[in-house]
Amino acid sequence: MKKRRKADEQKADWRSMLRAIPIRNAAAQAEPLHDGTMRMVVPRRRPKFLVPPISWILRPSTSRTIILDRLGSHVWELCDDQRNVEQVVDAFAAAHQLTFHEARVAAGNYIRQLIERGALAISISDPSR
Amino acid sequence: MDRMETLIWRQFEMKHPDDWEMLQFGRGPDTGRCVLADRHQYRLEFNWRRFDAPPDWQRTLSDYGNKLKTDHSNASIRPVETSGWSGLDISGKELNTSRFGRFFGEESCLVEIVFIWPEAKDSDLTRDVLESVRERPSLGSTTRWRAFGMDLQASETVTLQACVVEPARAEMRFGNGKSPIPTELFQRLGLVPHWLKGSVPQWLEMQVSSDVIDIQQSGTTIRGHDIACVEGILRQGPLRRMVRKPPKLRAAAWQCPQDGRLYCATCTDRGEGEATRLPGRRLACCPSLASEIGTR
Repeated sequence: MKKRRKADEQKADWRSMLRAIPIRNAAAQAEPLHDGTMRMVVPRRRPKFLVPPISWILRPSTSRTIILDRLGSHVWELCDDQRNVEQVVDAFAAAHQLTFHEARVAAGNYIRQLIERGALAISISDPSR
Repeated sequence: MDRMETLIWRQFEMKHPDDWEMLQFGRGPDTGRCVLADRHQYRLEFNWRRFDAPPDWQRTLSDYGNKLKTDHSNASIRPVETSGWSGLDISGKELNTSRFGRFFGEESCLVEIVFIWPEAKDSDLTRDVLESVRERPSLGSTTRWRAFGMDLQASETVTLQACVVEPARAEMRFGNGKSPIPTELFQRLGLVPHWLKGSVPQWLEMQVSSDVIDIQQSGTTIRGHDIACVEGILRQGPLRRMVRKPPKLRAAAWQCPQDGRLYCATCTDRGEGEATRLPGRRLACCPSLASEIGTR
């Protein structure tokens, strides 16, 4: 075992990610649909270049619509500005009979997508406090 | 002490706390590594490497200890012996690990176990894990694997070719690498209410119908598990059919009443060997089924 791979380098943990609190964008509007999915409308920031005369010609949409499947809707519901990611993952795992890491990857992907689309922001708590 | 879960991988068995999950795995028979993690960080590495003869592990340890002393001058490095395993206890600002090695003669493998400690070292856990490591020879014509919620018996003639692990989806595919036959596929699928439309027998038939002709369906109940089975002949061109006996496909699927997941075992072969056994009797989802099919 000459190659001492990673064991000592694998100090990386995901504790800080789990401690983070997903915060909803107050301007995002969520509308539950009949089949358990959800339509979300997230206002878009006006691009800086959009000044006259460009704005006379280009009229980009002022909002972005996101359709969440049933699992994504559940993640959105769990992100209540109180729970941290670990609590969201625990609740998601319990509801869908998943292991912790299955739920961490699945819920984490939804949270990441919601952050990318501006529906969620993340509050990183200071571990030293 | 936490409840312990059994992992069987590459003919080695090991027990670990049941809240640890395998997040990385190697498929290679000669060398590889599995890494287990608790909910917060990696906790254990299981490395193996095949050697024709027992390597000089003490020397490897001593070389490694010397290297560590150079790289981490503040680290405290102490040789340790536990339950027939010899290793190093490393404590320092950046490192807090215990590294043990032992040669297993039957498999001709040097196994190295690395514990990664978040806080204080746990000697009871170290001992329990190390004492549980053992070789798991073939069960007659099958080899047993236990990981990702599946407890399965693959034919001895096939090796692990692919392993896919995603949220709510674990698949282990066995074959002999050269030919698509024989193939043995074991699956464990979660979030069933979100994707299963219809019944399990319907789903199973849909899975195989494009590849198989002369489908015969049957079903059986084992300890509260309603197992749907299909059997058929793999679709092949007329020329191939004339040259060789057409391969058979047998598959079984069920939803476990305990964890709600859908389990499926599919075996394709030419009617010889272990694959002729009912596939549903080679995959267990929970202790009640395991005791019935004899993997416990």
